[in-house]
Amino acid sequence: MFAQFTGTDRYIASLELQEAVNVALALQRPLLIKGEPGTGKTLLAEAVAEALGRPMFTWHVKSTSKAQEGLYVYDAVQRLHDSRFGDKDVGDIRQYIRFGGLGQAFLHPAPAVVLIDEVDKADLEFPNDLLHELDQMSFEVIETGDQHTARHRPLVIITSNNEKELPDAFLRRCIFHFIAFPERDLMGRIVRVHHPQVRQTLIDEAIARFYWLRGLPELRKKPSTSELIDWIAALVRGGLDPEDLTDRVPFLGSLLKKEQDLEAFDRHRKRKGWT
Amino acid sequence: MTAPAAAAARPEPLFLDFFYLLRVNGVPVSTREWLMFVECLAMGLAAADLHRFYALARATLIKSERHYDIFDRVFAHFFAGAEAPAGLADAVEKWLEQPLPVPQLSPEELAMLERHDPEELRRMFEERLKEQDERHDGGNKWIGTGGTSPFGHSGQNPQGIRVGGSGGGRLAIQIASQRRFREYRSDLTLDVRQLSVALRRLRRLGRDGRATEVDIDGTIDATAKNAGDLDVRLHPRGKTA
Repeated sequence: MFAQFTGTDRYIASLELQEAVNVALALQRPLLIKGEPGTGKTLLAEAVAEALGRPMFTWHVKSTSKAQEGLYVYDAVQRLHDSRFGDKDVGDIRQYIRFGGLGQAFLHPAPAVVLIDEVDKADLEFPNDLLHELDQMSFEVIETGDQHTARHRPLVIITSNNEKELPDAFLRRCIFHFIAFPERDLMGRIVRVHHPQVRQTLIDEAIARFYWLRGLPELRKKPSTSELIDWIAALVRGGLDPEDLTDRVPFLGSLLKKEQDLEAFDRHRKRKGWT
Repeated sequence: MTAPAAAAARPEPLFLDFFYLLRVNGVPVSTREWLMFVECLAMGLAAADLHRFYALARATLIKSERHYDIFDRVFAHFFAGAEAPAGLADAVEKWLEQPLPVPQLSPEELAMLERHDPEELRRMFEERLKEQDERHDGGNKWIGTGGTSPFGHSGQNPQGIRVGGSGGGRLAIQIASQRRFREYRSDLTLDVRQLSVALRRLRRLGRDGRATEVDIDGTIDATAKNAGDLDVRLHPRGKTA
């Protein structure tokens, strides 16, 4: 039987998410994770790596990233510079090949976890350029002609913030999971993991206030889970009591980050007669 | 003829109707994804657990959160026949807003309640919905909360149809019918704000970023002019992003 993922002490995964990870492991397919910012997409890869005891390789995708960079980069400029002084053997191209996150995971002697973070940042064609490598788990270094094949197929976790649509051919090969915003009881458990020492009454009050804020229709950017966790940390450090949350929201800046949102909150505050 | 033997050798694909039902309802499930799903079942993943089966089917077949809602409805319809009748009266939802606490029942009483099958339940539900005209909580017949009637929520009836609310006593088979992903559907009309965001993004198109690629011709020219001393020239990428 293959390894099973059920979350970790620090990472609470819903049953659907656990199942998606386990399916990806069983079928050796890439796992595509979407969801609102701050729902723990990136943390998932770390949690899976920790739970399975595998090393993790990360490849942060940027708007200028090309598919090949995740496999390897050939540093031609360094080679040219070295050629001026002759202190290295510039005839040996291999020392100018640097492997990217995906390439390193393929070459790793044990099964690994690869995180391809924010795949939607790159060009539309980017995921399509990776299809062959993800299917075959092998690639060729064109400059040297070396063919590298993964000895153990790594678990590839790909995150997307939904900024761009991903190509169908790519989607068809992935296992997909959308991390929905946690409901209250799941949120209670998540917060408890991060703040095991905090009084339950304070957590309950804070979560209630947090969902009320999220429910305000005018907000442009709703506060996320990670912001809630930071906010509770601020409340604790400020030595506040649950009663302090009844008629005001202290440390509002850690929840609302946009000026329009603060103004919208101000209007609600006045209507409620808060201080 | 060899037809029966062939059928025995090749097991009938179990849920092919489900596959076509998804496609008819506008979810673009491909054969490749279906095979992935069947492979998972063959491996014994999600054995005998409807919730895990649901998660497995969704992870392999659905590739966008905007199809989650359709998937949920098709799943609920196909596997439980538990889709609430269209146009469930708002009044019913109101009766259910403030639930009573769950009553504790003896095993004998629970056993008595174990006798409804889904089809019968559904029929009874629709009938009762027609008859009922006010709020009922804590009873054993009408749609309400905290009772032992098969209908409503926060109650204790092992095979009941949950109407709104959250699961108390046991996980209802109808988890898919909660329509949790309704807001992610894509077949809605764009509003003014979304259009203005799109237009604003278009306005921002332009040359962006630094020169990152080696300009080979330029480097050769510059190095030659520089009496052979290396002068690396870079230029920005020709393609966007």
